[in-house]
Amino acid sequence: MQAALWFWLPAIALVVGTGTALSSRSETIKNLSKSIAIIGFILVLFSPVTVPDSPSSAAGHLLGSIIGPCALLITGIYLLAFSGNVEVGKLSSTDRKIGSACTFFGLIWLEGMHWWTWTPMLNGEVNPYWLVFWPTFLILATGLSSGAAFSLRYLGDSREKESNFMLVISSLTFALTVLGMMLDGPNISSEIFRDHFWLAISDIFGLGIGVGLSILVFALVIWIYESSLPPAKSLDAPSQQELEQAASIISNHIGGEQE
Amino acid sequence: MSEVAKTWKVIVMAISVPPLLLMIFAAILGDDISNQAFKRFGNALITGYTFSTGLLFINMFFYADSRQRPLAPLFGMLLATIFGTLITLWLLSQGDLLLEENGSVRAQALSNIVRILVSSLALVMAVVVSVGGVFVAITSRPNRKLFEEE
Repeated sequence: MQAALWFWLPAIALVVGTGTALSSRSETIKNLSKSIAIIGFILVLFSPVTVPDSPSSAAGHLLGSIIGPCALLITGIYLLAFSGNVEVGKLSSTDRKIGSACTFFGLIWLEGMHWWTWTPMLNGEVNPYWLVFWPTFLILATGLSSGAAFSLRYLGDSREKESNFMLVISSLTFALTVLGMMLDGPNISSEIFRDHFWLAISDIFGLGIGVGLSILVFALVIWIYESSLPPAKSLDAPSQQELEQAASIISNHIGGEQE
Repeated sequence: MSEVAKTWKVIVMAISVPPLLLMIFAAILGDDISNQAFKRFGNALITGYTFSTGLLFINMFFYADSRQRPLAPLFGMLLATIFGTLITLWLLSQGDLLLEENGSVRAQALSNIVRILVSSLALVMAVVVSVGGVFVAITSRPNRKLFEEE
């Protein structure tokens, strides 16, 4: 009951609030949904304190552990992107330096969670959801960065340098995954990492197929409904008199006046 | 095959090849967790389907807003969500088939939902790094001259 009140209800509020804020057209509903999502987020964050006995609160603990590096990474990338050559709202060179520092420390912090002693620990053990998050993030980051690199090369015009930069990111995340499979960290052995790598791959494939199926069902439901609607009433063809009237109006408006 | 189709094929391959290489590498290192991986795949599939149909059911309210609030598509998505939930609970109650380290159907179902949220968070961060990286790379370059002055 306590878990339902202090973890599941806020988690539902967070998901539904975010979804509604993104989909609604009404400004009032959007603002209300944002507030609900923020309150849900804060309560999920505090779930290890409010319901310490619930196993689900490990997700709140993970959220609290990774919010710092993730916020640094997002802020850093934002500052770096908007302090470059943008036409409107360009940020200063100081912001660029801050952005570089934020990105660097965000990455170091995340890496320290695997390779150093900063691993999210709960009751003396590695947080089980960290072992879901980290391999999933690495696998998706290496794949998506590689996809972005080839998109720049094939869809962009003279974007080889940018493409190479993305290939470096992809190679870096690839190398980190391989290193995790081969070398033990202080809290996570290479064998445990490999096990969770396979579980993360299963998760990604399973989720992809499950979400794809649900989108197919959604499209099918709309298609069945739309095809059951009666066809829209079409107008009769114009009569001879209407055609003549249209022709006379058109002829009065073309050709211009002779000087 | 048209140029556009070829380009998309290359991009899809570019996304898939690094994870496939990692899988080959992990397979060479030789761990057998096929039973656990199958369970995780099954759990992710049914939870992903049910969770996503639930969200699309909510989304259907906004579709209904633009179509004079018809009930048929709402009912259709509600049925799809209920079907997913029942199938999930039925499969989870089949003993060892999909139960991981959780003692009960409820614990497994709740653990599946939390894991889907954590995986979604990992996806969001991966998108931030890859799409954000593209923006950083593009805006870091000096402006290109589109036309030479005469």
